[in-house]
Amino acid sequence: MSFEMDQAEQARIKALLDDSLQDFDAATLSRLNQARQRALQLSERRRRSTWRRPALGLALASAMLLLLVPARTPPPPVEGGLPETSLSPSLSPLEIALLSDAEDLDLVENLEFYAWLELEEDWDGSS
Amino acid sequence: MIVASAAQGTGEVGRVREDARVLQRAALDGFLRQIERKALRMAELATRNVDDALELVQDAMLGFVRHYADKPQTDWSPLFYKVLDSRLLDFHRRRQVRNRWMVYFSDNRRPATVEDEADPLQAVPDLDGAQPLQRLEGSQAMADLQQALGQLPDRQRQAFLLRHWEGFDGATTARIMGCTEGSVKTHLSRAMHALRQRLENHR
Repeated sequence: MSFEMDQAEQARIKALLDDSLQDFDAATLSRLNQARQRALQLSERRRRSTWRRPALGLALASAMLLLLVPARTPPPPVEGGLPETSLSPSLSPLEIALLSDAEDLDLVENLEFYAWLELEEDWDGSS
Repeated sequence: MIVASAAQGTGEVGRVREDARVLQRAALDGFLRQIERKALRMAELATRNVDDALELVQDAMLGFVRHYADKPQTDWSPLFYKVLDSRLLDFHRRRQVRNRWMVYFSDNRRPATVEDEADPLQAVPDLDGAQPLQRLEGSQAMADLQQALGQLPDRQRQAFLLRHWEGFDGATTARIMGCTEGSVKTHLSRAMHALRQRLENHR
């Protein structure tokens, strides 16, 4: 007896299995659709987070620059009133740097998600 | 002038990114639509439970997106099935552990195993010249085939479905299953043997 499948056998099996794909009920297909949508959402989030990682690096570098430059260059003497370059006394340089890029606002707002994403990747990588 | 040019460049980059995003999403959506039902049927045959199967397929989709969505689209199919195969293996390992504990606490019977060595079908004699798989017809045949596939040991069933349903060649099937081509051939011959035996009434 041959354990190799001839073409007729293979075609018959394939046709039967293909036909069986029409047997899923509406509820199952709906859940399958939800699963696909979740996967697509994850793909979108990953794509956004990939683009934002360099932006975060740039923002942090800018913040460091803002922190270091004023420390090294003494401010010019001001005669009365606040210096003209002051943006707002309530915002830190880091906040100014982050808020200067509108796209990074999303990163700040979704920081927990991106942290979770990183953890997920680390976990997958170690498993 | 320079500022306007830079702004135009930024806008162009944004449009290119958006186009790439839309294309990637459409391609991914199309691919997942194409494989989702087959994946679900494979998982259902392996777990015999549609809820478990749906969960496994979702895990496989998420794992595929996390690790392989950036790979060339021509590689997506084997990569997806590699993830699914890995999830199915994990599922059976967990179930084996659970079964061992249940057996340990209930009685002293030996726990069931899915290892090929324990497959009682290996002792079943061959059927000379039989071609029952070729004569499968009708809805009863489909039910019988699904039942027979569901009763195969996991690795045999997976090798059979990847090779003869999904149409991967031996080398790709071996890569998906993380074994050698020789092992795939062994799994396939045992699967064929068992299926022909179980579908004997369709001769």
